[in-house]
Formats: sequence, C-alpha cells, structure tokens
Amino acid sequence: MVGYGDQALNAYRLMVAGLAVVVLVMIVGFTLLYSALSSLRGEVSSISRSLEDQARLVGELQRQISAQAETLRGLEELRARVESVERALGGVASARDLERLAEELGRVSAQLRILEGSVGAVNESLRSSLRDLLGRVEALTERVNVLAEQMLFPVTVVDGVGDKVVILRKPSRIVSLAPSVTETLYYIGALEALVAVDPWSDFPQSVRERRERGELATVDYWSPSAEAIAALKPDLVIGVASVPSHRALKSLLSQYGIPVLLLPDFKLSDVVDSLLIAGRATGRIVEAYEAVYKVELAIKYASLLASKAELKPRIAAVVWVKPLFVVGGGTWEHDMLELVGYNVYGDLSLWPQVSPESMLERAPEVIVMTSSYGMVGVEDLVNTLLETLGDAAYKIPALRDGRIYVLTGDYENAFVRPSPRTIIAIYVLLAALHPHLFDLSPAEIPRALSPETLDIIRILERIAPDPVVEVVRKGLKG
Amino acid sequence: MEPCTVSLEGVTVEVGGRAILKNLSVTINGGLTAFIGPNGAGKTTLLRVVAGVVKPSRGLVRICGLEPGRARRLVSYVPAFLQVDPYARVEDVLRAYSYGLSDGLDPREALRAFNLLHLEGRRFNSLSGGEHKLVLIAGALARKPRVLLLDEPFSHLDIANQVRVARILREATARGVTVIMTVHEPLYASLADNIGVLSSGELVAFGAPREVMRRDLLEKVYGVKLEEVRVGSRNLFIPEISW
Amino acid sequence: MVPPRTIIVTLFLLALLLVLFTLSLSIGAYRLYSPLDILRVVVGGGSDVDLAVIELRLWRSIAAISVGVGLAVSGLVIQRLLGNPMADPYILGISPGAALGYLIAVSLGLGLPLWYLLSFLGGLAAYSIVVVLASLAGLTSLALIVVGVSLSYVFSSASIILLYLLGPQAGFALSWIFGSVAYVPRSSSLTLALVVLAVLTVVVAYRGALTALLLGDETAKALGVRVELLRLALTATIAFTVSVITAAAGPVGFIGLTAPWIARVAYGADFSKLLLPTIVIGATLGLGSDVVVRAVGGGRELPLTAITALLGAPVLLYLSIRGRDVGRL
Repeated sequence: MVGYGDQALNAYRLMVAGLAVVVLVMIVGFTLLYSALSSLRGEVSSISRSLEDQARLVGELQRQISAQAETLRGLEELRARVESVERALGGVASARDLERLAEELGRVSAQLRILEGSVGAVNESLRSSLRDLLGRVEALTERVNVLAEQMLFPVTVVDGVGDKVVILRKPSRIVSLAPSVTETLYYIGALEALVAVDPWSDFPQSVRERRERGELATVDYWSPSAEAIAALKPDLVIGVASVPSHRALKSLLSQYGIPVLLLPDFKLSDVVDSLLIAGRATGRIVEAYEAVYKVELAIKYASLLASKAELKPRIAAVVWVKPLFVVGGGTWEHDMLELVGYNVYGDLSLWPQVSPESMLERAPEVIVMTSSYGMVGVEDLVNTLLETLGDAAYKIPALRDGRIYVLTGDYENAFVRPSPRTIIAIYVLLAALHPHLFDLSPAEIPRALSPETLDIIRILERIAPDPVVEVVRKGLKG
Repeated sequence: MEPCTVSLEGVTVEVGGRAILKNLSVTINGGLTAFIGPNGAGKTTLLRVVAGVVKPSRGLVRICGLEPGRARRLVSYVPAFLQVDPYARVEDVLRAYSYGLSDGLDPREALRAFNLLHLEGRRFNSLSGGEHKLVLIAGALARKPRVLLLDEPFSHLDIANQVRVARILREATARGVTVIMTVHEPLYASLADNIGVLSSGELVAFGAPREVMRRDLLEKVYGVKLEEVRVGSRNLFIPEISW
Repeated sequence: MVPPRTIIVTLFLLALLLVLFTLSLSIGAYRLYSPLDILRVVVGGGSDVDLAVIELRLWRSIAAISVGVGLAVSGLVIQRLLGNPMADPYILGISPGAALGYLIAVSLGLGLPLWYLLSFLGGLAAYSIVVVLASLAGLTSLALIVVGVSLSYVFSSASIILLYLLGPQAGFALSWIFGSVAYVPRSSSLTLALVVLAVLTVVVAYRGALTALLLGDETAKALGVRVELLRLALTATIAFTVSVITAAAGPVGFIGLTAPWIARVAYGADFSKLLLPTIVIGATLGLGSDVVVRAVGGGRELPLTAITALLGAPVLLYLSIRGRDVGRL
C-alpha cells in the first residue's frame, strides 16, 4: 500500500498544498487588489468632488462674470447718464429743468448704490470705477443742491392740502410737528436743519438723543403753540394735513412770516408725495428722488411678492380695542392691508368705531392689531370679543384659527405713521400673512410682531433685492 | 279733646356762636298763639325748635310732654318760604304730608275739607300765592296734628284769603288744635288768644292781646313811632311815616 | 286716582318698549332679522350663528335697558335730593371722575381690565371728594351742586390735559367718553341689571321720604325725614350705581336728565306714581337710542350720547312748552 498508496498520498498533499498556495495568493492578491481599488475609489470620489467644486466655481465665476458684465453694462449706461446730467447741468435754465435733472440724478444715485451692494469684492477695477462714478454723482448732487439753493429759492411748493407755500431761502431751522414728518426728513437727509420736534418723534435715535441733550426743542403735537414756535425763529414748519391745529397754525404763523407746510397723510402714495414735497421745500431734491426711487421699488417688490400668494386673506386691522376702532378706507393703513390682502372694513372711511357683532359679519381671516405702545395684546382683543359675542366669537375665522397678530415697538410705529418706514410694516405683514413667500413656516411667525420677535431684515436678506433690504434697514437701524 | 301743651324751658339756640334765642321760657296751653317781633328777633327759630327742625343748644322743649323728635306725628309745620317742587301736583303735596303716618291720608278728602277740590291735578307752580298757602295749610291739617306751627301764614295773601286762613285757624283751635304762628301784622296778632313779643331772641312779653298790644311796648320793640287807632273792639297800630 | 290719560300714555310707552325690544333683536351689524326670523331662530330653526347673534343682541339690549333705567332712576332721585330739576346723576362729579380714571389708566399704559376698574374707582372717588367737601358746608343741596359742578370742571380739566398728553391716540380714548353699550361684556350686562334692580329696591324703600322731600328740606325735617342722612345714603347708592354703569358703558349723557324730567312734567312729584313712568321712559330712551345707533351707523358704531339727546330733547321740549301752565298732560 506504501508504493502506490504513497504516490497517491503525495499527489493529494501536493494538490492540497497547491490549492492552499493558490488560496493564499488569491487572498493576498485580492486583499491587495481591494485595498488598491478602495484607495482608487477614494481618489476618484475626491477627484469628482473637486471637479464639482470646480464646476461650481466656474459657474459662480460665470455668474460673476455675467453679473459683472451686466454691472459693467449698467455701469456704462449709468456713466452715460451721469455724463448727460453733467452736460445738461451747464444748460439748466429753469427750476423745472433742474428738478428734472435732480430726479434723474436721484435715480442714478439709487441705482449706483444698488450696484455697489451687488458687486463682490473680487473685481477691484469695477469697484474703483463704481466708486469713481459715485464720487461724481455726489459732486453733481452737491452742485445741483447749490444750484437749487440759487434757482429754486424762493420756491413755491404745493403742499398736502393744496396750498401754495412760498419758502424764501433754503431752510436752516425746521420745526417738525409729527413723527411721520421727522421720519420723512430723515429719509431725505434733512435732519441737520431741525430745531424742534413733537414729543412723539422718537426716530431715528439721533433725534431722541438730540432732544434729550436739549439741542432740539419740543413742541406739542395736538396743539402746537404758535408763540412757542415763533420764538424758535424757524424758517420752515412742517406738519401733517390730518391734524386740524396744524392747519390753524398756517394763518397764525404767516403773521410772523414763517411758512407752514403740511405733508399729505391719507394714502400710502402720500408717503412718496411727502418725500418730494419735503425735498422741494428743503432744497434736497436729489436725495428726495433717490428715496422715492427706493421706496417705490420696495413697494413694487412687495406687490410682486403678494401677487405670488394664491389667496388674498380677509384682514381686519384693529387700532383700539375698547371701544373697537378699525382701519377703514382712505388711510395709508388701508392701502397697506389691500397690498397684502383684503381689508374687510375698507368700505368705511378713516378709522371707524365698529361693534364686535360686525366682526361676525365681516368674518376676517386675519386680525392685525396695534398694541397702543404695549398697552394691549392679543388676549385683550380675544377677551373683548368673547365677553360680548360669547362662543360665537369663534365663528370669526381669525379667532378660530388663532390668526391674530399684534404689532408692537418699531413695527407698530411703522404701521401707524405714514412715513417711508411704512415699508417695514408692509413686509412684516407680508411675512406674517404669507410666510411661505419667505420660506418660513407659519409656526415661525410669532403672535406679537416686533423687531425682537421677528427679524424682518434677516428674513428679507434671504430673498429680497438689496435696495429693499436697505430701505427696511434704514427704517429700523436709524 | 284736651289741647296739647307746648312748653319751652330756658331754650337757647346758638348758630355760629351767635345766640338767636336766649334762655327763652314759655308755656302755651292750647288756643291760637301769635309771636310778633322785628325781623331777626327769633320768631322763625322758635317755630323750628318746636317743629324739631333745630335742636336747641340748651334748654328743654316739650310737646304734650314729649320731646320734639318723638312728637312728629303730633306736629305739623308750614314754613314761610316755599321750597316745594314746582312740578308737584296739588295731591302730591298733600300726600307728602302723610309721611310718618301709619294710615296715610286721603288727598281728595283734605281738599274737600278746605273747598280746594277744584285744584286737584293742578301743578303747584301754576297756583296763585294764596292757593299755595291754602294747599300747604290743608296738607298740614290733614295730618290731624295736635299742634300746628305756621310761619307767617298771612304773608303774600289778598284780603279775602287772609280772612279765609284766619277762619281755618280759628276752626282748628276750636277742634282743640294748638296753633302757634308768627305774624307781622298787629291786626292778625290781635286775633290770637295769646301774643308773645320777641326781641333779639328774648321774650319781652307774653299774654292776652289786651295786655301785650301796648303802644309803648311795640314802639320800644320795633323802634318806630306808632299811632294807635281804635276800630270796634280792636286796637290798630299804624306807623307814623314821614318823608 | 290715576287719570285714564296717564294709563293710556303708560300703556303706549310699554307698547313702544315692546316694539323697540323686537327691533333691537332684528337690527345689528350682522344682518337684519324679521320678527318671524327671530321666532324661527329662537325655536331652533336657524343656524347656530343666527342664534348666537340674537343672543348677543339680547344681552346688548339688557345692557341698554339697564343703563337707561339706572340713569333715569338715579336722575330722578338726584333731582329730588338736590331740589334741582337740572341735576343729573353725573352732577356729583361721577362722570368726569370716571373719565379721568379711564384716561389715567390709558395714559399710564395700564392693561385693558384696569381701564374699567380705574374708571369705576374714579367715579366713586370723585363722588367721595365732592361729598366730603360739601359736608364742610353742611351737606345742603346747594353745597352739593356747587362743589359737584366745580370739581367736575376740575376733573374735566385734568382729563383734557391727559388727552393732550395721549398724542395721536387721543381720539380713540375720547370716544369712550360718549358711551356705548356695544362693548359691555355679558357678565357686566347681568351685573348692571342686578345693580339697577338693587337701586330700585332702595328707592322703593325710601319712596315716602323722597316724596316728603318735595315740600323742601325744612318741612321734610319737621315731618321726621332725616334729610342729611337720606341725602348721604341715597347719593352714595346712586354714585355706586352710576359708577358701575359708567365703567361698563361709559358716561351716557342726557338720559339721567331727560327721563326724570319727562316723568316729572307728566306725572308730578309723588315717588310712588313717578317711579314706574321713569323706569319705562328710561328703558325706552336707553333701548331706543341703542336701536337708532344700530340702525343709522351704516357699519359704524355711533356713541350712545350722540342719540340720547336727539330722542329725548324733542319730547322734553314739547312737554315743557305745551304743559307750561296747564299742569296736565
């Protein structure tokens, strides 16, 4: 069995050994191969990642390039417009020509600043040419304003009640009788000339500080004293058309030769008109047109956003809880409500007193209320409605769905004062009523709306064009 | 019915430190008593003390032996000056006099008793001065008081009404009501059973008309010269007026 | 004996009140209901909103009637207590005091419930000050009137100053001063009705003394009426009632003056005869004014005081001129 058997055994051993070697080799080989492969895959994925990055970079670069090309094109166009203003400035013959130039300059200036915000830090040459152009615009503005001072004054301005008000020289001592006036002056950069404000003018911060330091006198809002105002020796007093005593001041102060200008404060468009009237009266027409351009842009963008909403919610705006006062037609607040939705009390004029029962009839889906400087909240309105209507109060959709919002702080001021700051209120209302337009979920909208609870600037920065954000920021961070 | 005795003992009334009645004592045993005296002598205050409107600073007042506060049902008082709600109806005035009476009073009955039924339903301010007085006296008597206090019941009345009031008062005394009144006309004082003369818060005389109505006393009290005229059984006093 | 004419007038007023009550359920901002609709809704034939609206109007009408009756009876008592036909329940400073309390709460920026608490306390405080000062002069009717009227002007001055300090919101706060029952909570309607019932009970209890007072302080005192005590107790009762009414519905003018006047011109001065007509006239004026407010507002809510005088004054003028000498209605 040894001879033959041994051979067979050896052959068998050899086979096993060979097999083992093969298996070993395979194991080692496969291991090596696998590790090689896996490292290769890592390499490949990292390469593809970098490729993607590069593609993105390329895309971004392309976008930047195209944006810069656009900017460049825009810049060239603006340069042309600046140059045409420069040329035209030599041939200005009338105040009307000058105002037309100022309007163009204001628009150009606004657009340049918008470009300045959109140009990244990359293209130094672009930035420098932008800066150069802005410098030229500023110089032009200065020249236009100097010219305006010579040509416009004495200027005749038609104010908010249709009166022709004659202002002899560029005003250097201005009295503001209402917070909306002060805020309008702020937007055209005319605060320097202020000598007195009403007690409710608390924006921008600088006005409050100057008043606290005693650099600004205070005159009453409801019944400003003609004598106290005359004693300040102002060369322009600006009030609002809706306060009767401001009208009465006109004839009183005309005896002292002090012009009184009333800014219109009924419609949302009056905000724009007020900027222009105030701009003409103070000789700051370029700044006025620049502000108008931005405000109108912001309003247009808000309408554009609102038009994307599928439904226009039925809104009631409560401005006083007990007795119940709401926003009716013929007010800037009404125009704001109509911009973001539908004002259920729009058929009644001004700020009508209404019954709780009417809430059942008008069935608002959303109620927006003002806090009266933090005095009342959502629960006060809910309680008032429940106390009078009983459980039927829950038949009011806004109450049933818990869609009652209270505007407080700066947002309340922006809502109740017809100044360019109304833009803030418009966007706050838009965000509250149509959160999806801002990529917000309804849960992110607090019931009490104030800069502390809802950062409208941050929300706008995500989606809105820079000039809109800028107008809002200017109205909050004065 | 036995007349009710009204007595005052050492009654002093001070208002703001000024004595209006000074240590006054008098006892009235029924009948018709008149108090005369110049303006400010304290006549009205005397009635108010008895009526329980004013509490004396010192002294005692007794009506049928009771304090004024406990004798309200026994006393009726008609002040000189009207303070009556002008829109009150005549019957309202009478009903007002029923305050504090347990069984009330019938206004029609009271009006009929004084022949005033034609005034029913009339507004008080539409009546004449005489009718005012008559309605108030009718109300006061409708309470069926034991003591009737009247401040100047004859003022503002024409002659006919003066006679009418005088007759009503006399009839009341005949029924046993003690009537105490203040008067300015010596003529009507003379109708009284007793006359008290007040001067500066003091009772200077009290007694029958014949004893009290003396020219010297009256001249002293009023400080004017008087002429005495005798008409029938009565003495009249006419002031000498010279200018 | 009550003349038949008086009975007819009273019946007429009661019928008018019934008509007004039906109207008050039909008219309102939500929609108009015919009397038939109301019946259908009440027996369960309407939607639950219809039922809720009618219930809401019922509460509002209870408030309007309570305000009318409360002010009318308070006015009647005050006119008698002060012996002055031009007195109204607010003469003791209650309305300007309540307004001042309300405006203090508003201008201090206090919460909504405190506005009404402070107006209630303001009314009572004003009355207390008036009574304390008047009692220095012996609590006569003249002293009460003079002190009441002067202090009312003082409180009004303070209110006007506060209104000016309130700035742009002054208009809203001011509107409270003209009164309205549109915002009276249901619980307050009930409170109002109970308070008015309570004051009626007090007045009924004192009707004899109040009638005796028609003879004037002097005679009333002789009759045994403790005039000063009565004046103090009843003005305090009325101050409380009127302060409750004012806190709930604001100072509603003219009813407290007109309703008792009409009743007095028509019915004399006996409280046992006057009380029912005064209640009916007060209720008619209160509810009638509110019905007019609901009917003519056109979506707006008019203040009650805007209407009370328009409704009450013609009746008052007619009665005063026509009944001048006659003494009969």
